Amino acid sequence: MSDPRQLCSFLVGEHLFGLDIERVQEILLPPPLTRVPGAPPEVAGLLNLRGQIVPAIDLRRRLDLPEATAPADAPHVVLRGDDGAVSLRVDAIGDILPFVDAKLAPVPDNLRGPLRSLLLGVHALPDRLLLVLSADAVVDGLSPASNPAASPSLSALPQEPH
Amino acid sequence: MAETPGWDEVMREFLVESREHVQGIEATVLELEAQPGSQALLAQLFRSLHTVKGTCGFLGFSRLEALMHAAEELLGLARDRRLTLDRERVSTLLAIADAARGALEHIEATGLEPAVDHSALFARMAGATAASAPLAASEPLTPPGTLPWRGAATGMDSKLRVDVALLDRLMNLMGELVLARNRILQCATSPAPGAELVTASQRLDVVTTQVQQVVMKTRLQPVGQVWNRFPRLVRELANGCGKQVRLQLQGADTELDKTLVEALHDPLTHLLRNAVDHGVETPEQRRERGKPPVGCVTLRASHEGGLVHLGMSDDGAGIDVQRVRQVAVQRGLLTAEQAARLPDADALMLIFMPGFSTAERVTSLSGRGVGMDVVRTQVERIGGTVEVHSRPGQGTTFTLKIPLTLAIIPALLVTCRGDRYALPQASLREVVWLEPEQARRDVTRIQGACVLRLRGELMPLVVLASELGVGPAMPDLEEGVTVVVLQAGEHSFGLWVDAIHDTEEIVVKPLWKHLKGLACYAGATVLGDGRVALILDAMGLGRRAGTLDETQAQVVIPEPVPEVAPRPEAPRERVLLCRTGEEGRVAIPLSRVARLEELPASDVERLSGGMEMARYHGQLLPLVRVASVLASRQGATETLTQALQAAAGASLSVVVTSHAETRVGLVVDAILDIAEVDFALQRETRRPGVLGSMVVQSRATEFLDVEGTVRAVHPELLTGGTP
Repeated sequence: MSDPRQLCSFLVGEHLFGLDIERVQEILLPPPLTRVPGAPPEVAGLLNLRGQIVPAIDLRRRLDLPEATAPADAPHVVLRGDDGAVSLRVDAIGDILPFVDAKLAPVPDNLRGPLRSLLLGVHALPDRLLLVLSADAVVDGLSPASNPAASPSLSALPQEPH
Repeated sequence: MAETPGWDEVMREFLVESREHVQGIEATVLELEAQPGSQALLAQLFRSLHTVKGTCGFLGFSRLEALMHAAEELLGLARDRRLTLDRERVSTLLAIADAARGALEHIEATGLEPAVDHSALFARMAGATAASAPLAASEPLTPPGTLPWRGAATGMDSKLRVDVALLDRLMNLMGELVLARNRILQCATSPAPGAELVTASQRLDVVTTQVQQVVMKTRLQPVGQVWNRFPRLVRELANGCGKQVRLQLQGADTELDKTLVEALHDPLTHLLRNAVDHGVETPEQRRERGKPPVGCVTLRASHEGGLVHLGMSDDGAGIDVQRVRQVAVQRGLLTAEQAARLPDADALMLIFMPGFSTAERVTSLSGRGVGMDVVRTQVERIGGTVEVHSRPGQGTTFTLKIPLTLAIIPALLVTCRGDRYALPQASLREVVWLEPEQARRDVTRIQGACVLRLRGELMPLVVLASELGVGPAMPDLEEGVTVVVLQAGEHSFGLWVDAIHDTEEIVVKPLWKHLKGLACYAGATVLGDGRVALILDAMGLGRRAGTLDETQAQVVIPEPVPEVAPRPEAPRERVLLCRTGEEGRVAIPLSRVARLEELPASDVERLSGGMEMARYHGQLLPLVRVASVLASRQGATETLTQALQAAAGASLSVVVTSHAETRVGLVVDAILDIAEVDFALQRETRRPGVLGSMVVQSRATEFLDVEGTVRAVHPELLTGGTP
């Protein structure tokens, strides 16, 4: 019983992660980022994706992995979502891997921290473990911005429909 | 029923049409009340009722059909002059319109007629049709404020009706846009695009601007769309408080962006409610004061200077400024001394302060203040302003000034620690550049807060870098200070930025939902070079910085300004204002300017000896880069060469100056304006090339020493070519 689904795999730190390829819109070479002072630390900045402004998440910080300087050529994995695209900064892009539901093992009990809530499960490859991420969980549930008082003008500016 | 082909289409048309008719019925009934017995209005009403009745019957909505039929019967009696349309009967007709509106909403949502029992309504109608209908016996149909249509946003609100001619024009422009794109694509693949590309991009620029204008027009809606609900509101309100009020609408066809039209509904409703409730007196009071018993509230709209002005006046009692002052003192918003010193116009603005909303219980007057802070917030949220004028005994006028649209706005680009930000020009008041010396004198730190002394007035100074958490709370004054004075509501504050760039028209895009909590940003935009820039929000920055937090800070109390010694009579001189370097402004006497030129950088050559020459009308024009002279850097022409190489293909703004023997081109970054100034230099300076500085258009500007500047680079030129 094979599953036609596939995973886009990538490296962050020493871990190999996978995301349902259906949710991956494209891979970007390191795009110019505009930083957003005051934003949650996981937000790496904003980038211009063919006229659309897309937020970029530093996946290393999002997963609470040890800080390390991301390589200068850190690529981005752009996810499609209901509220528009969101880009994830990763360390390196890996292969496209087949995804077989049956082989997905639950997250080990002793795994704690934010990583646990973001994983769908663990996929044992012949030589290493593939951690399967939930795209929704990665994007949602970011820590709130540093000044939660919403600006009155934010909601009011009539904005361009996407 | 739904499986019938085209049924959805029929249904949609029925809903749109009936909704319009019901709206029309309501308006006509209200007009009929004002001029009872008008056969033309009666006939119009009959037609509308009949159409709705007919389609309802066709579609099988029998309850709605019966309702319309009953209304027709009532009107028939009125037409035959067997009864008069008094207040109660008008109310009954309005109730029918409400019921029909409710039914239509239900039909839109479910496709079925609501199973509402209209028997009470029918009974009322029976009473109304009886020749001896009791007058005004029944309770008001709907208490004011809970009118069923208030704030009801149905699916129809998301649709626009657009003039076909406008769409045709848009279509033509799209065609031109495609042609312009094709030309550019062709240029991109041709080996040497050059001039072809320039014309193609200019064409693209023109077409894009036109498309933008036409698209904006398609979004414009007459404000009358908001207003058509108001006659009913005023009627109910006036009835509710036992007053007689006539509503006049002027300029209902004035157009405004659709989103703004909707955003204005609540503030206008509130102002109207206020005017009827607290502004207009009772008929008895009005008679005592020698006014006609029927009060008049006027709504008017007009376009003025790129803004829409909305005025709402009443001819009521006006606002007693003394009482406003008293209340402000009672509520601890001002000290008695401050209140006394406050000019009347500013004192009136106190009614917009949040503290006033609870004052209602203390005094009857301040009913006018209830919720006014909300009105102001809502109007400012869409980039507008509110003003109030009042003459005791004669009435009050509120004026709202609203921008036409907000989706594409002009903005000033500023930098802060290497990042660029866009500041909407609507909130921009002026730009001030302080020399280090001036900065040391005029920028002070009081208990952690920066303050700027600007023309004798103390102004809160927000340090952008510190506000964003990317820089120190007090940057180095020795580098000079660039301040952008922003207007947030009626309050202004200075924003200390690192540098100022050009202005650009930006397209406002929303921020990601996880970033929306950041009050200092109003959105983001993509700049010309493809990078993303955040749009700063003046209100949010001001609030965050605490400058607008305290109610005290909301009213600028005028401090006694020290008298400035009158200057001796100074000669007036016309000057050309130019930008040099990042933020320098220099003035060049217009009498010295021969021509203004944009020269392509490729026309500039460097001769041996470091002299820069431009090919100019078949001759060679020596060039001097003003910025490098002013920066007193060595080898001014070296910098010029580097700049030229960096900007290969760009053009240079050159001010051609005339000297006795020759002409010299002064290279500036941009030519800004021409101004007439008092030739009174405020301060001598030892900087080469500068005679002194002065304030031009409220900004510090250096007065260029044309001879000195030229001499600094080409001393030989001024002596006729011989060193």
